[in-house]
Amino acid sequence: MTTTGTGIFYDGITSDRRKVAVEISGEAIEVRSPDGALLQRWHLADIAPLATPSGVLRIGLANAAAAARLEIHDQALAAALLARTKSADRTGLTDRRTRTKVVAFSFAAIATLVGGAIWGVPLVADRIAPHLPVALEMRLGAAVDTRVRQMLDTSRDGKPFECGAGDSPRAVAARAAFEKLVSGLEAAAELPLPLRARVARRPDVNAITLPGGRIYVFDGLLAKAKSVDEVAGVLGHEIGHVAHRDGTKSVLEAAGLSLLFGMLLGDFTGGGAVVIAARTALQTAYSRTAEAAADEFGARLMFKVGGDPQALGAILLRISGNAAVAPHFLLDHPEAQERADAIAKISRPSPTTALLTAPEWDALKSICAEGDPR
Amino acid sequence: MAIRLNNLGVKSWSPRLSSAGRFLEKMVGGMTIVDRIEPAAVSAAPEFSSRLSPVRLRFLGNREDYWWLMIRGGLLQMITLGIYRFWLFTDMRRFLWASTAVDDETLEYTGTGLELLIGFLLAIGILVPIYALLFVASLELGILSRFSGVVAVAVLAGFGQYALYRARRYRLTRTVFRGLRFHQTGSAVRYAVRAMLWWIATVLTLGLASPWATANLERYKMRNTFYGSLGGSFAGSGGRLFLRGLLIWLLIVGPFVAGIVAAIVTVDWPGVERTFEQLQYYERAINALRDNESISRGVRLLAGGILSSSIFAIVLYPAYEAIAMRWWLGGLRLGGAAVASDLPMRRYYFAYLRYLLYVVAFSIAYFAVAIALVAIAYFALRDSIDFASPPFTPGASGPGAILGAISGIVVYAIYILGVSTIYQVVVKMRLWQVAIESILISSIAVLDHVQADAATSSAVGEGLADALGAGAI
Repeated sequence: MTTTGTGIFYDGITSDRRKVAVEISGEAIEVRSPDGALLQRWHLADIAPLATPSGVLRIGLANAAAAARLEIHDQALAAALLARTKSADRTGLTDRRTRTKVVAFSFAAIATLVGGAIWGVPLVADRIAPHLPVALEMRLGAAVDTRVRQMLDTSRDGKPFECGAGDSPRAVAARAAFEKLVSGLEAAAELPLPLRARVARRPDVNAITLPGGRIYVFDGLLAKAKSVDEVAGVLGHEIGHVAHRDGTKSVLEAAGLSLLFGMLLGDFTGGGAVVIAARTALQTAYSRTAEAAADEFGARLMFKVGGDPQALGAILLRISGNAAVAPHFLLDHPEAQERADAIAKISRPSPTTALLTAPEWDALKSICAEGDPR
Repeated sequence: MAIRLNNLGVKSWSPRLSSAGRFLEKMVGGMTIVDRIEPAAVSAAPEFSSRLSPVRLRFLGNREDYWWLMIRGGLLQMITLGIYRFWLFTDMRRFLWASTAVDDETLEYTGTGLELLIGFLLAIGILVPIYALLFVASLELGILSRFSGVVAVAVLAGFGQYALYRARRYRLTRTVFRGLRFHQTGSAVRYAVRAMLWWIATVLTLGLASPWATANLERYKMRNTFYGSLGGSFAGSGGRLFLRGLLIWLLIVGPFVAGIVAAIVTVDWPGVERTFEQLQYYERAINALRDNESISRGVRLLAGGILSSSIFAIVLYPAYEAIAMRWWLGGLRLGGAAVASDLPMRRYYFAYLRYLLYVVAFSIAYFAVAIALVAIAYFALRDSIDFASPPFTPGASGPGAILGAISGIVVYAIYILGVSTIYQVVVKMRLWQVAIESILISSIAVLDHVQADAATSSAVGEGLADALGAGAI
């Protein structure tokens, strides 16, 4: 077997290119200048083959700071050297092992991340949200409020977004009725922060809660409501969001998901879709949990103030009909029937008292009927 | 030994090569230095020195090997949800570096995927508090929250430039040529500030300042680039790039400006003013103006200008890329060695046309296979599953819908990955090859007796660049 030959040697201290004599002797490889002086002696166990075009073997010391290199163009000598070197292989075995390790590590990392996203993120958000200062949530609410108004205030008729402004007797009566309803619920709810509920001029049958205790009841909901208890039930649900600080929680959850999926995973080509899908599925799952909890809170609140807890379920069923609009896992609210059933389960028959008088209810229903042009 | 090398004019002495360090290395690394020939004595080796005519670089890479590397990397990225990218980038660089021959000697990339992963994780650790701070700041600033998005983008863009500079340092220190490493000095913060200021100037001048911005930033980068102790510089002038790119700039910006001017002339401004006076509120006036005839005509003119600009931009992009690459290569200096490039523009167009062809062919084949698979699945399962009822009807929930959504995403992700793999081989590798093969280096003999002078750097910068989406090969 060939154990001697020639090579090209770079000593790692200068870029000088030297023709050298190479000899494999025992457990080491010796590099000598043409006049016989020993330039380098490397233990075979320490050398690593390095990336080169085919036909050339380049070796250096593994993990060395200096980049001394020996190049062997003589195929027979190169083969002999590789045969003697345990760590060196040109079959790609080391690379394959590395790849297997990376894949195994990745699977473990992905499992951890998915587990963290499903259970960890909501858990952490639940724990952190109550401890964040109320003042911070109020500021967040103010910032969100500006955005939401830009998005929702789209009417072209020149009427103000919030209903019940102005000093006309009807407006004053409507405002008083709404405030009576809200303050009754607020007092019973024992909230960590003050409520700021308004009726908004929107046709949608809905109500929204922003961070910082900001609630908008849409005009469309008042129009569809058959009793004050239905409006109170929806308000109770929204107050549930305020009590649970769901606005802050959802910001924390979104941040957590951004960290887990946006940053750690997914920064690869085609990964955008995977990340968006995973985030949507997880965020709607968090949201469904929060909505169910708010329903429960609303129902209990209605008990406390003497209203009909089932009214929320009734209006939900009436406005949604039976048609599901999307697959369950893409809904951010549980389906209406499911919600109504859950509410019915925690409701017991109990004496109800009127939350508003009939004239007050009429005044509230017409709160958006007139709007003073700006 | 150390003294002798000091006398030879080594600028700064790497502590790892001091005598104590070498002793440590002997113990740890198994490196046994018995003797060394004095560099001056070896320089007499006749066949490698005193080459007077310019030397052309060669590209030795085999395209099939690269296809295989990229396809395997793409599949591994898919099943690891992208985590494999650090190892893929390493493989790509190792291949491209090893395929680039300067004067019969190939470059060598010594970075590892693990280094990139650790750098990336550290970068996440740096970025998360910054994201949190930006969020809290946008709340604290209250009224300024409308602009907080702009501020955040500016801060992150600055970070991106910082990261790019540090990533360049990482790549240079992992590049070995003839037994010596490259390295980079200079401050990444200063570079980022410089880049941001030039970026503002470029935007304000509709891109006219971009040649000078590029030249200035390249000067900074090359001034701080070293091969061993041999310092680099950049001789390209912004004015020359400006003149070469002026026609392209006019063709792209011209229609856009013409569209704006035409729109301004067309719109009935007194009428708009009246509307604002009548309606007082900004949002309401905007709503009312949607029905204004002169405005919609103006918008159409503006859109026409933007469309023509975009078409010119797409068609001329390879030309500008080629011009800029040739200019950039021609400005590179390393010590007394100078680069010249005779890059032919048509090879850029060939690369992009081939890419277009491959993508069309791949798309047809891919979707034919996808549709065939769905059809086979449908007919095979038709008898056992009722497709006309939930969970397969639209809007229904259940495992069928989840399965459908997931398979849709997978089909899309694989397609995008395929297109990106084609791009990496057909465009990126090709353009690398074209650029390398266009290079002629004069006075290459100055690379023959360079002294070592470098320590390696961490991969945090590269990690930052990756986390900010600014990474590149």
